[in-house]
Amino acid sequence: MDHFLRLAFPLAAAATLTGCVHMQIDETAPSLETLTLLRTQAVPQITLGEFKEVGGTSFARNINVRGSTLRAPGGGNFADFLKKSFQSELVAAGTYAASSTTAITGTLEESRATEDMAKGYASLGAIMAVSRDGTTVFSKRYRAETRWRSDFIGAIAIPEAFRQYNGLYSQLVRTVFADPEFIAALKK
Amino acid sequence: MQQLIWPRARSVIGLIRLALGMIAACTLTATSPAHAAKWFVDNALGDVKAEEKVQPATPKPVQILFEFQRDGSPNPRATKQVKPWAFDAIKQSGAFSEVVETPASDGAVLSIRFNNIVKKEEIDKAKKDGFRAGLGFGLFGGVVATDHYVVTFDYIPATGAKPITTTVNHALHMKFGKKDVEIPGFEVKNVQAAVETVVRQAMARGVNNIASDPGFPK
Repeated sequence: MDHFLRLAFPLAAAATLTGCVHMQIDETAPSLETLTLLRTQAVPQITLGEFKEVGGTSFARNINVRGSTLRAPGGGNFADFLKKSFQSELVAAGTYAASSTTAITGTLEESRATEDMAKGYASLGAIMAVSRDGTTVFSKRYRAETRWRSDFIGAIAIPEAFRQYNGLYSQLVRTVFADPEFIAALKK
Repeated sequence: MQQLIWPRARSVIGLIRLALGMIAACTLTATSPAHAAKWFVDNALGDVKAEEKVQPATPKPVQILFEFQRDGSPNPRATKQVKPWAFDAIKQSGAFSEVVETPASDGAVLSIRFNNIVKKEEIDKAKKDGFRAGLGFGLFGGVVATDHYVVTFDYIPATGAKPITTTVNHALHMKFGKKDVEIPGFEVKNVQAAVETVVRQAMARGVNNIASDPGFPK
């Protein structure tokens, strides 16, 4: 048995390091925390404006971990996905109205996930703004990050890295709606 | 399915497959696995019995917020897979007149966090045993892995009302290879049936606990 194990581990390393996965990010579920934040703070009906990548670049199209790729849905970018995450929470709270003159816009400026077989790190950052009748009345930078214990085995480490990154979207939305300054700007 | 929801089984089965594949690649004589993985739903929770069941006279609509988690952080892929089963089970409970994802007429919300707790020492042992079992085609030794679930229900009857909270614990067990241990559960045909049963039982129990609370609208 021992010689099998000695043979197996290098082969396992080779096998797990070369396997590639290509998947699409999943829509995040609305949370009770964000719904409560929106309802208790009496956030008015709002819409969503433009969500773009910083500098108009296309840095936020993919997340790559060990040669595997996590893509934004429908050939879009992660700025679009951030918008979708905001919309999902607003709809669940009953505070989304496409016709509102108050809009939230976003500029995604940070999007990454990395791991070294022992630990992982992912972050998401955006400049979020409030506009009224097309004029920006408030703007602020927000970030969300996460760290986790990664794994030698790619079949475990890669989906875990993608899952951790995926979870940052609802975390970032909650961070924005937990900020009294942002809420005040929405209510002005 | 097992890759999305059952992390311990996923890693253990992954190791078993990896080990089997490597043996085949090394041109050793290939045989079919002596023992396939078996799945067991833990006995402790069980179904809600007829005499336990609480049914409101005038059920009200509710908005459901459902999230599958691993160690308290979101697992969106598993949420997508499990949510339809959870919704079906909640509808079948009869505790609500309507089960929707958008705001209900009176603002009632039921938040459900289906948290898969991963115990590091257990998963490390399961991975080690799983690798050995795979190398031996399940003939020499085996592995038993257990996944633990803590399901938290928060029900808010109307906007601004005091929440009703209950927690339900459940577990899944997987056995591979030669392992003579008593599993505290009943066997189901595959991992999908196992997870579906766990979700259905947890939903039925959690909703019944909520409906039993004096603060639940009758």
